[in-house]
Amino acid sequence: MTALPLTSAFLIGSRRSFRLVERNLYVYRHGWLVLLSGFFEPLFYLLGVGFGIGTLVGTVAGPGGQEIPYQLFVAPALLASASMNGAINESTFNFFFKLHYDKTFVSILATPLSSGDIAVGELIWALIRGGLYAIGFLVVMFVLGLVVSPWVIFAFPAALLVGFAFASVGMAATSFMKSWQDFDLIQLVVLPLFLFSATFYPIETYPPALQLIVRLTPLYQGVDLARMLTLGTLDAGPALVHLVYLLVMVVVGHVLAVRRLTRRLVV
Amino acid sequence: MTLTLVGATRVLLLRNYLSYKSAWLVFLTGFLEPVFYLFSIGVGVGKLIDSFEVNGHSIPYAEFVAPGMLAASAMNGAILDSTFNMFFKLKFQKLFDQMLATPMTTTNIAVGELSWCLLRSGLYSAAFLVVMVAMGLTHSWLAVLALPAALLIGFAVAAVGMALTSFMRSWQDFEFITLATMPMFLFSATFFPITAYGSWAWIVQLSPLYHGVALVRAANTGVFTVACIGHVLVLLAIAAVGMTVAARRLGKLLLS
Repeated sequence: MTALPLTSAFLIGSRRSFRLVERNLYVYRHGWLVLLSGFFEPLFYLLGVGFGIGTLVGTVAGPGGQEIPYQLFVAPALLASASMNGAINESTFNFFFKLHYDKTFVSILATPLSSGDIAVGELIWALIRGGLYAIGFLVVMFVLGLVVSPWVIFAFPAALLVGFAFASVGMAATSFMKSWQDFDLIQLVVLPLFLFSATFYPIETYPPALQLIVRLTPLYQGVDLARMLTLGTLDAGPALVHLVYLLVMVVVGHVLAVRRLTRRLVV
Repeated sequence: MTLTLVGATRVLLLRNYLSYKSAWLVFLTGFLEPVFYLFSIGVGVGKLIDSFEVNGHSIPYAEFVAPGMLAASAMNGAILDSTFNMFFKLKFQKLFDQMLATPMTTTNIAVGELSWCLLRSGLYSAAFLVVMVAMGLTHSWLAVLALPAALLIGFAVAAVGMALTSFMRSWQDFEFITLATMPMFLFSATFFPITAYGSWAWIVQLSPLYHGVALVRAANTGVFTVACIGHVLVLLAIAAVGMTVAARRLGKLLLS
């Protein structure tokens, strides 16, 4: 790759990236149905696991040590995982299609938009989609009586950050993908993250060695953060660690994605 | 040259085997999914459940979830090839049009693809049964009967999947498949007994997976009741309807 400077304008993109958001909006106007399952997935899990299995579990110890109903324990975790799932779907599968088959990005580069604009535009779009899901789920939580603390307001930006982090990393990973089969690797990472990030039971359930491993995984940061915020038991130390972890994901993923996109599309 | 049904099925199975040889990872993820759920929900959440009773017997929660996941793995094995991949072959790859240029008939294709789905279902459930045995979640030799039950689930799911796929117009319609399989997976008495639904239990009985789960669970506990005959009949009926519709639609789509 020739010395393409990673200047701030290059990484952050320009206002032109909103043209790409606009383009996606037009495309989805006819395919809004695809957005439905992203909304229903966490809802089904909340009803099936939270309320359903909740009848067997009863109460469980929350992050502050207080006993809380199981559905209240599961709900914030589902909010975080829904953000992850939405972001991964958009930034991997759809991104790959546009990159290799639809050649959307090649066409877009023939316009004044840069690869930075594309990466930023796609990220913004993934965030809008993730934000819609998060709002939808928060409304569901409210209706089902699972809103117990005013801090829950901040669970929304937390969910957005989770989406942001996974979208950036997902895009970077997709730029390395060669065929559809590589996407099974993504499934092999995302599903265990969803199931084992202290999503459905407290992290203390694991033996100490496993606890340490789980504490190092990305979705756990989002789950724990969302849980603390929903329950109003914010602990500054861990919360800060989660924030920094997710922000590092955003930056590293984004820089890598822009660099790889430029190499694949421009050079 | 004429081709017998068995011969045609063999050729189609061979074709699918060859095309999947480089995509073995897909096979792995489909199998691992229910295994992950068994560990997360069965073992993990199971630790939060003090005592769990079915029919008056206290059993570990994982032992209750495992048969449900075996049934789900059978469904997993059948669904992808009968819906998503089927659509790709039908509309984009035009694979079936090519096959019809050979001595194969539409019935050959339907039966062949269905057999492939059954093979995959059978492999997944057999592998899952091995996991269950390794984890000590089976108690009697009758658990082997979970395999024919799994094949029956695969048969019903694949037949309905093919029938529905023949009506699909675009990829977006597959969203409906996701929206149907996801609640089926969660609410077919897979993770908690049907009694938890109270007077809403009849809705759960509409799910084909529920009947499959009930059969596998009966095999695992070794207690077969008269209701099992009902479950078998329901699954057979679903399979028969699905097959009839699929065969008719395939003929219409490919031959006219």
